[in-house]
Amino acid sequence: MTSFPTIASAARDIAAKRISPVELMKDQLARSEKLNPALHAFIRFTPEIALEQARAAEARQTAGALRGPLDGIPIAHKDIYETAGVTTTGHSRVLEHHVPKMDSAVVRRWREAGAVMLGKLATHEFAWGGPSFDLPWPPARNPWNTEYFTGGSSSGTGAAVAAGMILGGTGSDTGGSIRGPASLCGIAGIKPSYGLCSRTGVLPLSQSLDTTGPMAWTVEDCALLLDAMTGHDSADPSSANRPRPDLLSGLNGGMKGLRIGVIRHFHEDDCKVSPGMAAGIAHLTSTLAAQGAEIREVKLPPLADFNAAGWLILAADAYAVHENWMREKYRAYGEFLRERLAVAATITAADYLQAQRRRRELCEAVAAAMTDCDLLVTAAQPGEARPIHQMTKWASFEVPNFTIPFNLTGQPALTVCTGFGAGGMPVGAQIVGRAFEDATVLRAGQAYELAAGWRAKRPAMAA
Amino acid sequence: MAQPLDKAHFEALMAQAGLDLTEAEKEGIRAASAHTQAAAARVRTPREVSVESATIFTLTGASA
Repeated sequence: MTSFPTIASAARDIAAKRISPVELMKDQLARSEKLNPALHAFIRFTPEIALEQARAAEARQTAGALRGPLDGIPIAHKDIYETAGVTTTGHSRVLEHHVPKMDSAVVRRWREAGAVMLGKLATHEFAWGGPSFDLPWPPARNPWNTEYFTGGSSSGTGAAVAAGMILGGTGSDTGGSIRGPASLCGIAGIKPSYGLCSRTGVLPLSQSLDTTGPMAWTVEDCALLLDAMTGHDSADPSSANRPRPDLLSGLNGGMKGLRIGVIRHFHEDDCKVSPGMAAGIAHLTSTLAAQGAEIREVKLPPLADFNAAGWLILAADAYAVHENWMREKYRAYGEFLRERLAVAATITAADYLQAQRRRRELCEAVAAAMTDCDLLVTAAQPGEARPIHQMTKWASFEVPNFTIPFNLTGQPALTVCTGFGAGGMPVGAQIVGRAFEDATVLRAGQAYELAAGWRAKRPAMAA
Repeated sequence: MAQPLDKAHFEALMAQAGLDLTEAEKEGIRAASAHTQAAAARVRTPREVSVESATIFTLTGASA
């Protein structure tokens, strides 16, 4: 077995009986337990569940009855995904002892696919309040430099995947909480089309924007995980009643004929990104052009317009979710989240609805820009990760956000690692597609990733 | 950058929300309200009254 298996490589090894799921689980759990004191990626390990699930996968392996590529694969879940019988806290004192009775839909789907749950992963408090040092568990650290921020809110998933603790994990993305950590931790993460994957049983932040999605070392692994997440869920009002998409058969279809619009003004004028991030975007577009994609420039409304609408909607929705707990248990929250929610309490109904009207206008502008583009490209973050203690309480409002535009529009958006910048820290860029054309986004990400060769390098501390 | 909410208005909103804050907390949060005020101004681009919210939904009838 390779030192850092991917889902695809481990699935081949399991299918060929070169490794047992129990052996794989034990190796991954041992690595996770060894690295966690430095990374704080996990807030809870579930070794008994992992062993039981791995043994069941091993029995299926022996019987020649594997369920598919996720059977026997060690994963973990962001601690906003409810897991039956396993404490699900939102990384908060507010729900410190909350034990759900049922799995969330995604947890159930991955379990039914045979995935092996190693535990529950760190997150920003209720997917917004972080990085926080006043919660029952510390914030996750970046494996490329443990003094640095992972990005959030899927912070534990980003760290655990980058360090090879897990082969894949769940994230959620409301304003960039999959794509941001994917960029800062140098991994792949996709925010699928809004409505493609169920949100049932996932602690909400902003139901207008919340999207569940996978994070993994490679684009191919993201595709394998996402394939096991999709499908209509009648219990989720946002769930699209559409046939499950084919995300896999065209994954290696290449770039010929695809038209890519670069939203250059986002990352050169509206918010000038770091040299490392800029170089990464240039490498992405030149690599895809060399493979046959047509590259052009597109113009959208200013990034600040998307940020204004996005943050008003997110904050107001989040305040509504937490209104009663804020009244009853204000000081049970960490400082970052409770004060962000307190500011959100000042947003009026008219502010919120004007933001939603602006949202419709912005969606129309993006759709118009994509009439002759299949994909868009822009930055995933302003730059490389920064020291964790430099992350401020009001960063959500102060730092330009490249990811929230595509939460507003609901389009699928993937972060791929595009290299390494200052201090050897990873950078990532976004590839964005049309609604429900997640397969095209993954195809472009795969084409780039295989050509770029960044996947050979892992954080030194994980080796 | 927009101004934060004035003190009286802010304190009324915090009381309405049922939040019991220290004076230092009130000042910090009130100062941060400048961000949401700026955002609220920014989304008020000139538009026709007929522009609909993105929350408007379409009825789909019985599921297939």
